[in-house]
Amino acid sequence: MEFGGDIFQDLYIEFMFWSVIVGVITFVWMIHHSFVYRTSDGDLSGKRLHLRTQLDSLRHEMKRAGMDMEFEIEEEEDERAWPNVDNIKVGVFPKENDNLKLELIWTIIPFILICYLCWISWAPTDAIWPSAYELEDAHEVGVTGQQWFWDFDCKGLTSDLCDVGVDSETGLTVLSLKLDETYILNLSSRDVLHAPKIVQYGLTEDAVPGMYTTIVFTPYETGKYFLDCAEYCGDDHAYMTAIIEIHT
Amino acid sequence: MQVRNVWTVRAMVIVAVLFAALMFSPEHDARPTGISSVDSGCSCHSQTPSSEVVASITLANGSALPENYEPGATYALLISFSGGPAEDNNPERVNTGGFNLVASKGTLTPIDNTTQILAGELTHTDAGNDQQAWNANWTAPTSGSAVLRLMTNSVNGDNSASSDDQWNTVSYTVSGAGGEAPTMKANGLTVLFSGILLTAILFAIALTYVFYVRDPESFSWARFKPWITHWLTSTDHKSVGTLYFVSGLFFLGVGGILAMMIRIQLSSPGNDFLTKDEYNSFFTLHGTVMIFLAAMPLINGFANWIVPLQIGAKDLCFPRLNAMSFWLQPVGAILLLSGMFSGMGADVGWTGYQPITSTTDHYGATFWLAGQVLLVASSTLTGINFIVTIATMRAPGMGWMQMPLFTWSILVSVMMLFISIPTFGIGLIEAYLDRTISTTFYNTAAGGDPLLWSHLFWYFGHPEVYVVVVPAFGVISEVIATSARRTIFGYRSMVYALAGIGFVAFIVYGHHMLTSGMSPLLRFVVMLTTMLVAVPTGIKIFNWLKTMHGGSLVYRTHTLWALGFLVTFTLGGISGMFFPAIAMDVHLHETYFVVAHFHYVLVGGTVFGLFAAFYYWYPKITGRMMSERLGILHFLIGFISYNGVFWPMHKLGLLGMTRRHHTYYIRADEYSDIIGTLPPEAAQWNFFITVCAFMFFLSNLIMVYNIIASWLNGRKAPADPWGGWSFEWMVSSPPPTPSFDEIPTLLNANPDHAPGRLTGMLERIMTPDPGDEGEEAGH
Repeated sequence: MEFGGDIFQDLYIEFMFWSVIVGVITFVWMIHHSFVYRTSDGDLSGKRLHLRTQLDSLRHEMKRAGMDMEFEIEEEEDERAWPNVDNIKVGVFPKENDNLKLELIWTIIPFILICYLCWISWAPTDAIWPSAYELEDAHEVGVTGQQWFWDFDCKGLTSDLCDVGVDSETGLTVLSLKLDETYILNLSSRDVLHAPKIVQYGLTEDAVPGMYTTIVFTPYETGKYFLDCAEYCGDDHAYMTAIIEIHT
Repeated sequence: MQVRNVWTVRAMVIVAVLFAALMFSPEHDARPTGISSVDSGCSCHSQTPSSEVVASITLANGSALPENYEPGATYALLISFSGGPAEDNNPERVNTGGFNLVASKGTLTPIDNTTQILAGELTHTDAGNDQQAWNANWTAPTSGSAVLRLMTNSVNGDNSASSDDQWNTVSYTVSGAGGEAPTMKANGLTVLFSGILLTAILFAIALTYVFYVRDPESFSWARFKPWITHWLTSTDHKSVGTLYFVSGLFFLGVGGILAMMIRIQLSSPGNDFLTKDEYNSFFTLHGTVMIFLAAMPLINGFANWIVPLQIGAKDLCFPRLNAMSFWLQPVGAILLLSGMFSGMGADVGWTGYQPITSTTDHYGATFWLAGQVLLVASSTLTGINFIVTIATMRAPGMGWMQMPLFTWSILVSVMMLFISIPTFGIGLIEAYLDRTISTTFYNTAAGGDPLLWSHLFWYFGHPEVYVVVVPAFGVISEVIATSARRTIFGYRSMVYALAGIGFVAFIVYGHHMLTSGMSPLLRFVVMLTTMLVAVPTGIKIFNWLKTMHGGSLVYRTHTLWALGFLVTFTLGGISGMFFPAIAMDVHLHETYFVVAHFHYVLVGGTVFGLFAAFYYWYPKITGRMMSERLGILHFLIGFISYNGVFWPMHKLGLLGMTRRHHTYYIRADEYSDIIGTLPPEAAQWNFFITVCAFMFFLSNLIMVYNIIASWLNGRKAPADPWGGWSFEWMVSSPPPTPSFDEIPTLLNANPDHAPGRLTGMLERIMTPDPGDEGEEAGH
């Protein structure tokens, strides 16, 4: 199984596909324009700048000496060296450069794409918040966060369905659950915010003190899964881990 | 005399009210369970210790406590008692007793739900009430001998504290390995911040010495005084802008150093370069410093310098208010960081989620909250100032739709800030009161609501990230148009897109709370609205690309940064599209994918935009040209290493590496069969990121050197070095004070057409009719 769970993978691949398309269009466009429309001789730091600076300092010197004289150098516009398509001048709002049709195109097409992405990410929310009908056979398990460990409560389920123990190798708390059964993890916290994150199944939800939140979890593969805390909760935040073991 | 009395009485009344408030404020820290360590043992269970109760601490495996501990090792303790009413008069064995354990050195940690830490001491919980033995861990200190003092209650189970209950106490002394003298060990954060402070002082002394050596004759207070008075009291928008630059760049460095420390810690799994405590403070301050003390001041610096020049105003509308908003910043910064020097800096994350902010025992968090209140005040004043200035002080001929795009972006940004930041201020004050006078806004035991903070914070926090990125849009619009020698494509749609971003910012903030326990309906709504953000930003990116079409693009340093911005911002925008889909967000939430995304938009967006702005307006601000050679070197090293830092983080996040962890788990050794821990190559990627992070940090020193060196020795800059059209290129470089001798008039290259209905209405509202000013005043 890949990271994040099946629903995540499906959506991720679909989103990646459109991201790559948008990315390729943007970058090809950008690279093309920045090569085709580059100018080699546009740098004002060369001769013209030098002339202007000399002119400025000359004016300044003359003003100091008390000579009141105005002069201007006739500059020839060299179209080849420095094309000024829109005839930009200081203090003049430049000629407008727009095309309503194009602008509408790149307003409407992204909008359609976004509607589509919304639509495809709509249905999977059912898996995160299933209806009461789908949860008829679900088993409730309590998960309580406290600085800095997880406290699992099987709420009277048989040890086949739910069991709490300790992992011999790592010393972490283990919650044993059964394959293909649906569980409602009832989350709460005794002190600050915590968030159990079952990394491989791509499930996270905050455990908030003073209220109950839920994760609906249907394990579909056996193994030992890592659970850590995804909401910053103080010093030992990184050590607030546990294992969820799925057996048949 | 009379007046003075009134003031005295008023002051006394205020003090009395505050005192009464402190007296009667609800006390929520009462211990729900557990016994206290006051010398009488416990005020509720009899008065004197009883020899019938035998308290003891052993190791969990049954052996006695060692005489000498191993420094830093963790011991599993078994805390127990025997005898007394719990055994004699308590057949059901319920409510048997409790204990309190104080360790003079080392750290006590509960390992299950029967024990808890209250005020630094270990005691039992409600769940641990029916026991006579409890387990806990004690981590030995590094040196010195430690005293473990235990008090236990033996209770008869009648569910009330009576004199039938008995208690006793015992203490154990465990000495260090060699019994060596205790050594002082400073907190890393304290050392770092003291180092930064010391460096600043030494730098100031060195600078003074350089002045002295250069010209000993003129080195006198009489010459120095006007200079320092100018910088401390100036209300000129250019001087205030420069002050913003200096403080912004300084804190950009501070935030950068914090980031480097974080990266060293994460360079290998299980690293102990920083302690957990230090790591937590470092990432909190990295976030706060970068957003509030680096990005915002640098943006304010450009806004101060450039906006009045662009709209043809001599200064801002309220220059004194402007100076005040600046001076609130360093004061706020000192307050915010003052927790550092005690080693007790805020350790709550820049989001400051509740209830940890109200309950953390790091008192730096109180200063952190107080400092941010001042920054809120500063931002509000700045907001008022810029909105009024832009609305009323534009030069003749400049309607709303002839404003340069940078000015537009600042207007949209300060509007968002002005509307959103008061809620943040309210949240901060509530949290501050929680910490100081024990109000219970965020105390769940007393009915407070942690989600309230999340709402208040993100209602501000989301517009805030647009506040820092929108001015960068303005900069890029100016830079790309000028470098391509074209008018910006679709000026109107650019303005509408900016306004659209400003509007959408307020209806999407819930996507930060998609896993917070907020109502699913609300989560679903923000999923739809969040995706909308892509439309206006998409318009902007495509318009920038189209602007280059048919132009003549000149590659200068600011052009390179602008193109770099286009690359990174597009990538950051695309990765942002993954979060609103709730089914994906539940996996990506609080992973490094989020870290990668927001650094791509905040560094690749805001900071690259600010770099472009530095290279673009430097000649205007200082009157000197910047070295292009160094600029290109900065861009190449910076851009490549930047991507090396943040691109691999996407992958790490997808694999499930969680943020704000001071270490991470690799699928090896005892973790080799646990699915969901990181694959071994993740450690190598983290090392690679750390190396790139150092390159990125150091590359920015090239820019700092370039700024200083070009200022001293750069070529003189003409008034319009790049060929822009707006008013700032009309005045000399650097501009005179006041900035314009006479207010210029904006000409328009487009055929004259009457303003649209909406524009006309806005114009009428915003511009006072010069004919009947007298009547206006009468209203």
